Amino acid sequence: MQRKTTLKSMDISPLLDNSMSDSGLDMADPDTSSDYQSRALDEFRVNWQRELQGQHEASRKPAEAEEQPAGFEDIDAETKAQSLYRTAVELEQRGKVYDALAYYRKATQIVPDIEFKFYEQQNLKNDVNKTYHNLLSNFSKNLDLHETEAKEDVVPIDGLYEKFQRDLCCEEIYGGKILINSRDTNVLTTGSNLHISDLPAEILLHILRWVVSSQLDMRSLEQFSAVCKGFYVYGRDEELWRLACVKVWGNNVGSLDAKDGGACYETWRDMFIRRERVLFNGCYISKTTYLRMGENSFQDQFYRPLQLVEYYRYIRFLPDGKVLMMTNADEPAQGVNKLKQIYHTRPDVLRGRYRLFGSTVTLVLQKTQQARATAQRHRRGSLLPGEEEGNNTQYVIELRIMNSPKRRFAQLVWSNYTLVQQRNKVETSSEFELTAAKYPPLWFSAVKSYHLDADAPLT
Amino acid sequence: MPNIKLQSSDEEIFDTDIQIAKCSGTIRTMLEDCGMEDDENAIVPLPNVNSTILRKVLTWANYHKDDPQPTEDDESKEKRTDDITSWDADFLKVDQGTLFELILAANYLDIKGLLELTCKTVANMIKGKTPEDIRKTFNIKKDFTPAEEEQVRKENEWCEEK
Repeated sequence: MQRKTTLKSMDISPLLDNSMSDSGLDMADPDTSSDYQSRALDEFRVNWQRELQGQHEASRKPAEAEEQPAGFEDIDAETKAQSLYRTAVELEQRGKVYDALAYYRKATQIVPDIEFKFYEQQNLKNDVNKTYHNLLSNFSKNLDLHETEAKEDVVPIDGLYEKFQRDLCCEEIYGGKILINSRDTNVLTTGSNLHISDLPAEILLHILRWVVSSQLDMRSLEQFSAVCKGFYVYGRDEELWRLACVKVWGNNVGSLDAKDGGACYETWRDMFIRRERVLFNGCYISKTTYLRMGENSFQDQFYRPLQLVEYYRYIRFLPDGKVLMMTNADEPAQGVNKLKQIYHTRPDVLRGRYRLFGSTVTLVLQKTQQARATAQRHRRGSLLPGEEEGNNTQYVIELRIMNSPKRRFAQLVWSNYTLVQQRNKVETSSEFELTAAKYPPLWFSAVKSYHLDADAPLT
Repeated sequence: MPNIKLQSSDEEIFDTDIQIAKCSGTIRTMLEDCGMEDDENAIVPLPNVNSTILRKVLTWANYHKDDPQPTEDDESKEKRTDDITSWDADFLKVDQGTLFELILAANYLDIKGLLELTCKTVANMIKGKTPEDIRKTFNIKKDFTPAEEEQVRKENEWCEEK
């Protein structure tokens, strides 16, 4: 909203001088003439570009000159201040607050109200960029369309599954087995010569349940299916994918043909890939930074006027409906390891359950069991027995599942965060204000060590 | 403890503690259905298992005879350790052919613990590996045409790590 209003006020000034000079357009009602507006805006952009380069035209109208009381001679100073200010912003964004402060100071020494000037300029630039960007992305979209069409022409096989099944029936090559043993039969080996293709189908499928495991490591299953035609047929086994879907959506899994108005899916695998869900082979991480004033009164050699505080929020979803959340100052490299243990969690890890509803995931979290146990031990010596009886704190979080440019479902955007406290059988709930600075979206990053070993077969 | 005699496919006789033999669902059913439990001299034929494998299976069963029965209780599930014990890991230091034979034997003899252990071992040889790794591990020939391989790669692209 704010940007829009600033933009408009910026529009007006060129409007004024242009309309006076060359057109007889009705100035009483400038909003209705969008064509006129956009033309005027374009013209202004051109002017502004010129201004940036410091090539001021002498023929400028006095109306515009009044807008910049600093005068032409200060233009150089202003661009210098702007570049100082820009450097400062970049430094601050990178977390180098103290270096940034020096640059801010220099910039304000040259132009005291540089912040506002910079802000207005930035808005204009954004607007220009956006138009160009849209144009470009539209263009590239068109290109993409052609590209995919072309690619589809190259590979005309559809129904690989059926094709491979037919191929596998060929006795001469496969001899009733599902894959070809590449071992040289002339090389003598000690022990038994049994090959993986000698295992019956039900055992191979059972092994695949261990591959997928209760962690739903579908990536390993997909790698398996890329080995050969036989493994492809096994890797596309509908029952495996159906079980995976049931794990993810539980009772809400529904059916493939969308009786209740949801989306339609060709196969269970298709549902697993396309339907909104959270990712399991890693965790979602967000980084929050804020500035805190240093405490001057304290004799501290580490004293600084400002402290930059950084902390991370980690959320790891498990396929069985459990979720772990942790907030601390550890860098992701260490932080993700603290969520590796899913059964014996650390005390600073909140545990809970989640459910998927469309593109929303709802989490209900509690402090870990251990923390509660100590609280109960304290109570024993307390003068008011039963004071903490039934006291309970729950964090209820709603996140929207979004795609990132590279990966589906890789971003979680806050949509609600409520603290529900139960004290003496009275339930109070308080909602957090979800400011973008304090609750930035969480981004997914894959963690390899989460999936190293099978823990239990898929059931 | 009474013993019974198990006969492998190559006609070797294994004099076995009945409690150990009974970890096999197949043997248990045979004994109970045929009333062989009290007959000291009864021989249980196991035509699908050779002596090498049967010896290994019985070694495993003997080591695990005192294991608690697995429970479906949710609470115990949380506490169990999922790692393969070092004894089991040593036990499974065998060539791939033997491992597959153990799987087949465990399946035929209906020994759930051994079947899960061996299947899990094979699964861990697959998990996190590239298709080429898997081909090398199990001596599998790639039978895709280049176009087929490309299409499979495209179909599986959704889960690629970027």
